[in-house]
Amino acid sequence: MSAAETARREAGRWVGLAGLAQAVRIAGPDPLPREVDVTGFDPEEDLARRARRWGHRFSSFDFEALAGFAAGLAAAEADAWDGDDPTVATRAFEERRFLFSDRIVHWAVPWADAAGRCHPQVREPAHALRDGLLALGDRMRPAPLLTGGEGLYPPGEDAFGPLDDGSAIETLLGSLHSGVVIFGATARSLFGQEHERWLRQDEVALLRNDLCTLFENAAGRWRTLAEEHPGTARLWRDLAERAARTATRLSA
Amino acid sequence: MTIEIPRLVPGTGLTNFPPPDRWDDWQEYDAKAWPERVPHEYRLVPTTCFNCESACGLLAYVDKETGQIRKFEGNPAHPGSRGRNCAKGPATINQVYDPERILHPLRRKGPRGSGEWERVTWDEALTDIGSRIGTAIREGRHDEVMYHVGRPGEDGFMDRVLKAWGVDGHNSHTNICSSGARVGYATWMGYDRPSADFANARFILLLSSHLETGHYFNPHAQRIMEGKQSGAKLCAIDPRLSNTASMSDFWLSPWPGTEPALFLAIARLLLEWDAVDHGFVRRWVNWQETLTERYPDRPRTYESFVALLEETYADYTIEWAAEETGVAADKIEAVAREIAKAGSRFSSHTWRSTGSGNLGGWQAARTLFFLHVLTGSVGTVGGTSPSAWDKFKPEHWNMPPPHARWNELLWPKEYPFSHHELSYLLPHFLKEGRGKLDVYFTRVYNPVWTNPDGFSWIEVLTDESLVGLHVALTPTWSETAWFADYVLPMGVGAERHDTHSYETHAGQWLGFRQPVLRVAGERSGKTYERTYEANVGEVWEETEFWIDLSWKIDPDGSLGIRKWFESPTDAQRPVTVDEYYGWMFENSVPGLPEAAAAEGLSPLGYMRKYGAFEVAKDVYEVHERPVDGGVELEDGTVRHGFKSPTKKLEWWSKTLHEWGWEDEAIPTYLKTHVYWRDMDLAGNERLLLPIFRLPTLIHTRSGNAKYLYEISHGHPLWMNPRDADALGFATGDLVRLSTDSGYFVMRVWRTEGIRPGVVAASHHLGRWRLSDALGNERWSSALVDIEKTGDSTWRLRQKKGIEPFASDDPDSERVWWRDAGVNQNLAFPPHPDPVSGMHAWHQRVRLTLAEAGDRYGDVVVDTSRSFQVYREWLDLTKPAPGPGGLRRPLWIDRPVKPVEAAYYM
Repeated sequence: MSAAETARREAGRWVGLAGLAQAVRIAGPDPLPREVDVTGFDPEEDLARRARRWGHRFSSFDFEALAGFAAGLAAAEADAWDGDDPTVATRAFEERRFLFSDRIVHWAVPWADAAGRCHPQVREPAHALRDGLLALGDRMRPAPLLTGGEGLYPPGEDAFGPLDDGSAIETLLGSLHSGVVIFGATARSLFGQEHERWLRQDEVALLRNDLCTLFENAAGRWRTLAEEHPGTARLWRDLAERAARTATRLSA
Repeated sequence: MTIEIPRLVPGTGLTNFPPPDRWDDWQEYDAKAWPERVPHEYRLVPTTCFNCESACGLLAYVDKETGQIRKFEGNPAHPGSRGRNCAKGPATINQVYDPERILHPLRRKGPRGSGEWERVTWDEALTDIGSRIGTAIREGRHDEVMYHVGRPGEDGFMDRVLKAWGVDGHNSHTNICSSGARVGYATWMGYDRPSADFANARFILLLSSHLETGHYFNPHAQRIMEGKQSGAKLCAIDPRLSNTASMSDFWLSPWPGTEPALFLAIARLLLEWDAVDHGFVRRWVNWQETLTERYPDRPRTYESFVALLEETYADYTIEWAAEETGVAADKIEAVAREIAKAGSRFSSHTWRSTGSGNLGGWQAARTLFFLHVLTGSVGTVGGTSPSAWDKFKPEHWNMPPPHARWNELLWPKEYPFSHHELSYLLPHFLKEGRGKLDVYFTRVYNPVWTNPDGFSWIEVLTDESLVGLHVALTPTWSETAWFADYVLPMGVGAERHDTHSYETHAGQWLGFRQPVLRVAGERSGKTYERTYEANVGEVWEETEFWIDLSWKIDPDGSLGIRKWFESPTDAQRPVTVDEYYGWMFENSVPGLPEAAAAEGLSPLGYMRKYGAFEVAKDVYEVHERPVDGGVELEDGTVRHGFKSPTKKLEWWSKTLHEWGWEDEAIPTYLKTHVYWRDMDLAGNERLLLPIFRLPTLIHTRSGNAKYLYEISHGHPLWMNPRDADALGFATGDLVRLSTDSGYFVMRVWRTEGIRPGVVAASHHLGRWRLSDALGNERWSSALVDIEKTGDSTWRLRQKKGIEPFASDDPDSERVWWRDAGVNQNLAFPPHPDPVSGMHAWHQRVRLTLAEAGDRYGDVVVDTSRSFQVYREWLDLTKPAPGPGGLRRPLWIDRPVKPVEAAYYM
């Protein structure tokens, strides 16, 4: 298969992934398929800057919009290969790889995984979305398990940022930085009644043991995922360590 | 809702690079003034990076207001790097404005190595050095003048200088770098380097990723990415999980030194599956010569030759190879299938790694290239070509004829096949009384730190009866410069003129390195006589240095040297760089005069404007080109062929056979000096792999690059947890590694990323200095004491690691890293391979917990043991004369090649 065909096929894959995310959206509003809702980091400025270089303007910053941009980049790459312009072609690939690794995979996989786990009615599309992203990750290899640090992260940080930003436990639990995406459904099952995904300090104290088990289990799942997907293994290994740390903090 | 693919418009929103027509008048906002929008006016001047061999294009942003360089980015007009750079390119700015930089010529005051210096003028230095060389030449002591180069960075200029002097004094670093690979390739085809067409390959095999993560990182990586985009699979063979290996489809981690066994097992499979391009092998392999001269009893048919191959490699089964290499048989078979499937689109590369680690390592390249020969992937689209087909070499102006001398210090009779000079044995040759040096130049070269056995270097460099005058030409302080008589500051990539071309892909280009402040000044109407007038301080460029030095050697022209350096228009003044390179670009670069004329420029003006020129695209199958005087093939056609004696690919090398290396004359598997079965692995012996790169450092020259050291500044000893558990080591433990000449002390790092039985430490760290504020860069070096503890015993001990320091650069107070690393090379005795001359870097080490009183970074060495080891390896050689009384086969390349008569003893 030529490079142009490979890129064109990937454009189609991104469209498919966007469709899956649309299907999962019915799972509920918390959290939305957006980086800011899953991790707390708002990537709007960064994404807008990247898109400007390609004459593109985002109407929103949810997964579907990002996948659409990725599809556009893949199509631009295919066109550039066809037009014998390797500079633009490899730039388009590079831009897409950054988009995928910096702005999508680290939160979208945990989100889709948790969505499928919490909402059986969308399990199939959610986990298809997760698996599709992981397969792309094994091809693009944005986060393999490197053995040397070689300046990848500053001291005290991992693939997700600072290991300890001093957040209160209830704030940490609202973010993927804890190691798990907590959906409203998770909170509801913990309380046995209607509950939003955010937990208060007193509720955390009350549920300490259950939450601890939740995070310990998650750590194991991330480790397995890291073994199965070498292209993104560093992310899942880091999440495993974060989940284990959160469990330790909860049990302290 | 249907998802629509947005139509993106690269080129409107995508402003990758400033367009060349605006390079003289470019405006950017000052990043530091944000959020204010403060514009700065720049003149953009292209040049070529000096920080590795691949010579990527750089674009210097010269601030019109301050006259200073603000930053370096990529040069989009450069056909090799296409506007992109690795971290080392932009770090050139650190090297130019390093607050610790040597800015003026220095001459020592006290004893050599005492660290006392005085500033002198360029004229004083040139007069002193020139008159000394002139005297040596007048007295017939030509061999006492030696130029020893680390990073060449120029293509042929020094060849011309030394020919003009009539001195066989070119020494290089090749024997600590790439001789192993070179001999492996040269014995096949005469050409000593490969050039892989990664972008069009179906299967890419990297025997280690040395070049792709260090040298050539950027141009090769771009094209590997393109290949992968087109569906190519990538295989990295490396005992260590390198960054490249982590990105590969296949990571094979064999016992170091067993790689040829792996390749020969693959060759056997290709033969068994008949995945052989018989048309190619029949046409291009020297099977007729092999059968006639080596196997006269066999039928002289191609079929008989194929049967001979099958018989020769019958024992190299994958099961045997799996046992021997430690790589699972199914993995070997899977890689073999990919190679078979790729056929003519199989590309590979090897440079250092196993070829430079092992006794007999040169067979790694020879057995690897065998796979190309079998699959016919030589010179093809997506295959691997000889490097010379993808590297453009311009002619130099007024080239002097070859000299008739042979310097035994460089080309000793014991190593007739060496690629190239036996550089790292120089201390031992001097100690043995094989000669002495009156004037010794180390040029961007740091043997005390880089070479094995650095204390032996210190011993000879401090002995003025062996080295009369040591001149260090260097862009930065180094461990070796400390033991010089003159330290002469030379320019980095943005401060000098050179031409440069390398095999980055299936094409040819020429790059032009230029002093950007001089060029920017000239564009604004200033004039300069010499480049140091424009550079920072009095940092000079070498083109002018050698021209002026040659005038000082022969001021009245009576030696016949000056005439080669006189201006073509006025013999009373030296040739200028404009005259020199102007001639080259007008007369020896096909297509350049026409391209320049199309833009209304002179060829020199074109190169000054763009910094590079693409000479040829899509260079393939050069061997098939019809030429006069080529090789006559079976079908009666005459073709270009290769550079070997038969002009074919030599499976059996008659030359090796005639010089006594019969068993080694075919691609075969030789036992390494660190063979794993010979080691006490149940005890505390392990194989040390000391030669892997960090992609961000560059030996000595990155010492003054704060950007790079902020990224890479740790020097752990990689150790598999299985070994660590067996030996009782935890991460952070201090351990002694004992070699055959001493020991050093490092910290353990447990990691699954290395094969059990092998430990590893990068060769990029361990810098040191003897004075607190002088003699090396404080960004990167530890302060040490060196003590001579006996007649031949030495100890280096760290007094303190890296610390913040006060300087003109506020960043120096913000240095947060501490580890300078360990100069492990000091404790490596020389291991000269008897064929290639390559120093076999791998070491058999004994690991013990550090003893009471040991400190991190300690290195203790007995140089008499080093000397003994050198003699033991010397005994492995088969010295010249060869057939007809030759010192060296005539067809094998060497720098500054003398006339044929000099080859006979």
